[in-house]
Amino acid sequence: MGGMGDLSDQAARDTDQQLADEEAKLLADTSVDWEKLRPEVGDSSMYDALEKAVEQSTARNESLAQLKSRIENLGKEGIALAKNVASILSKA
Amino acid sequence: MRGARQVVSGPGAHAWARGFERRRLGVVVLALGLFFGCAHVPPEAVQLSYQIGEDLPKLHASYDLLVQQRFEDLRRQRSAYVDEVWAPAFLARWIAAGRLVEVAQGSVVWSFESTAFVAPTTGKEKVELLSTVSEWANQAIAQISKKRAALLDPLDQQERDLRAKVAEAFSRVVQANAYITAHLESLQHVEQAQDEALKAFKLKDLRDEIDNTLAKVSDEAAKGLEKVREADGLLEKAKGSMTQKP
Repeated sequence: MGGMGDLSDQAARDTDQQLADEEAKLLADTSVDWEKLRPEVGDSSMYDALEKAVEQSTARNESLAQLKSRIENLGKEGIALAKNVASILSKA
Repeated sequence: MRGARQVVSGPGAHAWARGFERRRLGVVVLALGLFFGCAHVPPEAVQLSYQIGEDLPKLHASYDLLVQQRFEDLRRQRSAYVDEVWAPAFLARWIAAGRLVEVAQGSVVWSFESTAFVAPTTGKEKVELLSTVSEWANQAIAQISKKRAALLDPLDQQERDLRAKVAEAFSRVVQANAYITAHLESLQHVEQAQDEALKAFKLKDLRDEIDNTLAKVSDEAAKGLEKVREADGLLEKAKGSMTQKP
């Protein structure tokens, strides 16, 4: 600041010194242990790995869900074959 | 494949066709084996997971509001300290150090050239008085603002950091839940496709019967286990009674 600013700085420092105990108490009363408040969820890399695995499995399921239409695409012969196989599997 | 079949001719053509049919049969058998081997996924499971995905952002908004309110309360306390304690104490000192009473009485003014309090220049008293009081007030306002910033800025920064961390954590969980919802939905799609296929093959009732039978067997097994445990308990009691008898 310079000039009158030096004087006002000194007045501010003196005030801080005068109120040091009161200010220390204020800071203690109004401080946040934000590490405690922060939610500790699982590790990010763990989430990434699990999500990738689930995503792959989901893609496989969606592919499997298309099976009927794919069998139908094989034609009458494919449907007859599928019926036979399903019948065998159900008896097994 | 159709194109490939067209170019194959002669005695090898029948062998190639037989091989193709075997491969196709193999694929269908394998696919059906996988297809009919899945557990039951009720639509409610997908709905529940979806609902969690819908509600998590609401929980986040509530959590975020609590964080903001908490920090607002802390800011209010610190600001009150500046206004009610620090500023009055500082002004008392600044009035003395800034020689405000003497300035008001017209005995001194601030000289910006010599950066010191000096006697007013004759004929310029009022102008010098005004510039001195103005500078004095600017200094007072600047010091109080500086003190307020020193106490409030760290809280603002902590609030920003905490809210960002909370947002990141909720975002992570929301995203993970979305993967689970999609997966449950895919399982349901498989089951729907199973049902349609079994209906087409007129085997759906049979599948339901098998499922119900398996569920019943599992329940019976659980009951059986309970009976074995009860029997074990009776045996232990009997043993105890025998050892107590003289």
